Parts: sequence; structure tokens; C-alpha cells
Amino acid sequence: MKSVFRLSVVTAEETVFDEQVSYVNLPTPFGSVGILARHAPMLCAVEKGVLRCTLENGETARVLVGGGVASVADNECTVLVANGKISEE
Amino acid sequence: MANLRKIHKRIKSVENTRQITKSMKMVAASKLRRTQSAFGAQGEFAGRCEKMLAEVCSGAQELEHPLLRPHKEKRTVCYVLILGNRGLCGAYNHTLLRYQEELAHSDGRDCFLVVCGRWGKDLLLGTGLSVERTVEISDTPTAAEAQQLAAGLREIYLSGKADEIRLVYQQYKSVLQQVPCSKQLLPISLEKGRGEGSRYLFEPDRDSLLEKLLQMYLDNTVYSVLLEARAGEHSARMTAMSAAADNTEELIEELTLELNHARQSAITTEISEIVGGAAALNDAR
Repeated sequence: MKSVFRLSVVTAEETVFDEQVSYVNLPTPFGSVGILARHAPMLCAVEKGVLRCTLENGETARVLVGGGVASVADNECTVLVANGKISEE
Repeated sequence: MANLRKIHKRIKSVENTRQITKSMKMVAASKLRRTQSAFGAQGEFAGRCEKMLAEVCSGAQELEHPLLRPHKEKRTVCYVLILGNRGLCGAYNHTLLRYQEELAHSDGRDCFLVVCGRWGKDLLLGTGLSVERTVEISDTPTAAEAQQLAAGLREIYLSGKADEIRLVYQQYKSVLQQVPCSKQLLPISLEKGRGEGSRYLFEPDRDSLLEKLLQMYLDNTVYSVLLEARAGEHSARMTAMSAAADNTEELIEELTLELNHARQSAITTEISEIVGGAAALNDAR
């Protein structure tokens, strides 16, 4: 079984990011939190900052996010944020 | 001849009206489409947000949050009245305003209004309802506008200026049907203590997650209601304008008929004059 999971970053206006990833790094009020596939179910506060993730092909993507909440369960990570934008750099 | 020219002029002006109503209908249709797609996207967010809230609440016996706690005395109600930005949309605004008046009178408690939308400032003055503030909301509302409005309402509730906040708007049933309704925004009512406790880890803790989720829930509820109200306004305008365009077509048909009659009778008069003149000349010879 491949160790990937689905990451979606959703704002009230649109789904900013929705792809299979192998690693996510979330900005939280108590530092950054790394998440791998088959993580235990968790609800986690998200701070304004940069969310980094590693895609299936090994590339890194960055998403700028506002404050919100992330939920990890059943090999799926959903990040609900006030605003979000994919960073091109 | 004077009559003919008058009818001509009339037809021209009705044709102009048809042009205007038709383009207003198109504009309303495109705005409706945009609002509807935003409403769809918002639904996705709302569903996930509610799922997370349920997870945070499940198994918790006591949930403490100022936005959840009803005030001890319920004396003052704040109505958030979401009117349209413009007229020319049938009975949309009038129906809502009448509904709001009835609501305020039948309730009997003290109340004040927060009005969203530019329509009918003078009419509102005439109702005798006190307006606390007016908020500008664009034709296709953005999440940022909703957040601003929600922050203002939260303030009103937490400062104790109002003990209950209700949204009053036209619920969107279909393009042809909108129904006025009112919905409680604050205090937020949640089902709590349900479920056997969550299998989730909470980082950093339940309370701070609850705070964040409630904030998002509040913002999003306001956002969805704004979108729904605007979708109703645009579709009401679309229907009204399409009816108006149809009416102008009918009117043009009638006027063309009248014009033909007038022209015919003018020609008849002219011919009979010529014939009469010729007969008179013949008689004279």
C-alpha cells in the first residue's frame, strides 16, 4: 500500500487545493505539525502561515493559509481556513 | 398626420424600453449564475465545518462558550434585514419589509434592525422601526463582507445590546419562488452531549477548537444567507424583467395595428378627396 493520503484546503469561497500527498506540514499555534499517511484521527487548530506538503511525485507545494481548523481522519486531511492561496514560489 | 407621428414616436419609445428590460434581464441572469455557483462552493465548506463541530461536541457534557450561552433575560431582539440593493424586482423587497413589520409587531419585545442593502431607506423610516446601522453588501457577496458583518453581529450579542439575533431574508426556493423567513443566528444552538465521545485527538484542546469552529460557523452561516438572499433578488429581477420585455412586445403589436389603421384611414381620406375633387371638375365642365 502506498503511503499517500488526500489533502484538501477549503475556504468558504472555493477549494484551494485538493490532491494526493505523502506529507503535510501544518502551521499551528504551538509550532508546525507534520502529518504522514495513516495518522491517528485528530482535530488541530491552524495558524496563519505557510502549509507545505510533498506531492506524490516528490515535489513540494506551498499553500498560504489564514487561521482555521484541520481534521485528519481515515487517511484524509481537510483544512478549513478563512482564506488560502497556492504560493507559486 | 399628427396622430400617425405620435404613434410612431410611441412605438420607438416602447422599443427602447424593451431593449433596456432585456439587457437588465441578461445582467440579472449572469449575476444569478455567479451567486449560485458561490452558494454551491459554500455548501461544501459548511458541510465539513458542521462535521468537525459535531466531532468536537460529541461526548462533551458541558460546552461553555459565550456564543452558545443564551442571555438570562430575553428582552431585546436584533433583526438583520437583508434587502435588495435596487428595486425593479417585483414584490421582492416589499414583501420582505411587510414580513419584517409583522414580525416586529407580533413579537412584542424591544427590537432594532441592522439593514443590509441599499433599497428603501425612506420606506424604512416610514415603518417606525429603529435602524441601528446599515451595511453595504455587493451584488455578489464575498466571504470577506460576510466576515465583517458577522464580526459586527457578534459584538452586538456579546456586549449585551441584543439578547437574540435573527436573520430576516427571502429564502430561495426556486427562480420563481422566494419565501420570507427568519432564522436565529445567535445564540448558536447546537446539539450537545450526543455520541459516545470522540476518537479524535484535540490539539491544543477542545475549547480553543470550539472557539475557532464557532467563529467559522458563524461567518459561514452569514455568508450563505447573504448568497441565498442575493440569489433570490437576482432571480426576482430576472422574472420581473422578462415579464416586462414580454409586455413591451404585446404593446408594440397593438401599437403597430393602431398605426396601420391610422395610415389606412389617412389614405382613404386622401383618395376620397381626390375622387371628390375629380367629380367636381367633371361637373363643372
